[in-house]
Amino acid sequence: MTETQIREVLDRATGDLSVRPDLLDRVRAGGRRRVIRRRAVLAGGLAVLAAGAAVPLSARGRSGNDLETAGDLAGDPQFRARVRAAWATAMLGFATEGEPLIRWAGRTPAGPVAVVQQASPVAGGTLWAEGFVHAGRGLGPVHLSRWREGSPMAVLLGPRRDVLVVWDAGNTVSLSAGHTVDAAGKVRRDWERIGPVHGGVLVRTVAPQAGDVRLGLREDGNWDESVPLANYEEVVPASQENRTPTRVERWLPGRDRAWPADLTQAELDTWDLSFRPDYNDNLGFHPFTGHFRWIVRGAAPDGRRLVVQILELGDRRRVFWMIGTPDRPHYAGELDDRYATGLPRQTTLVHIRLPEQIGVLVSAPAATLRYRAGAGPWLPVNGDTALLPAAASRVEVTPRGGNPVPVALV
Amino acid sequence: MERTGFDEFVRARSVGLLRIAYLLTGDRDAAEDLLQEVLEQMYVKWRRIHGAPEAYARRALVNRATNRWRRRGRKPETGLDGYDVSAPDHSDGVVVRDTVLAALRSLPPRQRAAVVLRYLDDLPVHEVAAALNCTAGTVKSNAARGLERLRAVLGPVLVPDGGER
Repeated sequence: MTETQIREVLDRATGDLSVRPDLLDRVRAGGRRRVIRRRAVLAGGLAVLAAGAAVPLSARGRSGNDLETAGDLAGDPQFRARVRAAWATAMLGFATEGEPLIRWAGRTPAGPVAVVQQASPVAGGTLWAEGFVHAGRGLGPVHLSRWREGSPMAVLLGPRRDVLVVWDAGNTVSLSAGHTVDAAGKVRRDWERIGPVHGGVLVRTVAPQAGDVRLGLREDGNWDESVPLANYEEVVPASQENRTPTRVERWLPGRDRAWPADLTQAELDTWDLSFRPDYNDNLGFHPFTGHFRWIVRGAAPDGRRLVVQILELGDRRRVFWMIGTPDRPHYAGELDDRYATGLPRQTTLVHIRLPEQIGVLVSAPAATLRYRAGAGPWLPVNGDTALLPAAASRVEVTPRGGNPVPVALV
Repeated sequence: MERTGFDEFVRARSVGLLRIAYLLTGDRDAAEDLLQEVLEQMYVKWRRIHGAPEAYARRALVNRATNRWRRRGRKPETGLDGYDVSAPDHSDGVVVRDTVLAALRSLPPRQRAAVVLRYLDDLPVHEVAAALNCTAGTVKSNAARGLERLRAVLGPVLVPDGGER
């Protein structure tokens, strides 16, 4: 086959594709939700980071050619030459335009660092690659730490990852040293404005962040945006794991009683804590190990709306429920042995006893369930997720392809 | 926030991007999900990427598609050994599509992406390199190996006897 024939068969294989008429509406609605749920955006950004992303030159509104280097090593020709060499190596294979611009070159407690930008022409425009070049301790070999799209950006350097270098790109940037989870399950942070600064780069010694980044970075603007850590995957190797994504999103029987069919997406979203910045640490950094989503909606026996949700925060998973109103989510603590039982075949049974004799929510994805109350008969469960009567005392879980396992409900 | 041009970009380019996503994933539903994910991501970042949105979209499609493959849990890709090369009806577009998808699935992800971007989208090598975050040489070798395997699989099926190879 010729290359032309390959092109033809690829074209034929995709020739009848068309997008759904409501794609734009769905994208805009989803995009607006993502603006709120910045955590999902951060996850996508990290994936892009690994590919060596870049931003459009035109979007930055300047040519950059007349920009001078800032920093205390700006006049060091030897260091600048090493930076350019390291950058050139990192850019091998990419189309580049003009010389790389060293926007900042200076000393930090972790060694000399430079911020570099370079235009890369592509069809329909010009991309603008930018990143940090770090010389390490003792003027070791210069290497490209990471590079990614967008501005501002930051990098954590030093063996303990306690040297924070932030390129503010002229924007207002704030730093949070750490976060706490309060009694309501909300994430709390205190913020300190750290930029913009003269020269564009701020260097700060912070508590060691290796393996667990507690700090948060925020670009203040029309809405708060997280500032990417260019070397996050190096700082937190666990973020490179590729766990199977968790996705449990179920409607319980009785949906019609509590949730009208014409319920708008916006109203439905008010019953989803993952859209609330004070519950999701949108401006912090947490390992991305696959999309985690666990939410069950239904109705209490008296007809009130019921939502049970598990929210992830790094390695912590917080259990919430909302009954009757989304305004007062109840935080039940972290997901532990009280609420989850590991079973064979990588099956986990979640069992949450709800207040007011509402019942026991049980869920074991792809498993078959039945339950009993005391010495009563075993009763079937429809589906892999259900709200059992409060009197239920045992549930039997049969993982797909496995044997039944009885679990006591406390 | 102003998102001038976003709607026009989606209307003008979504079909082309869906075609890429389809060949990257080999599945219509997965391709639609992937495209929507990427477009939502672009909606959020539009202020920074609207100068060259197509390049950004390609890169994001490849990254996210690759992550999907990784998340399959190292399940082996469909190999060539079991591939059925029985002769199809050349007039049947469905057969062509299924044959192409099966052949692409037999390629490692990077080869697959290189072939799709290079030959479906007709991109120059350096733009494929930008999307795959690799050197131009790596793109050439991946595309060449991918092309070789596609020829081996598709040739006997889609090219009539005596056709040019």
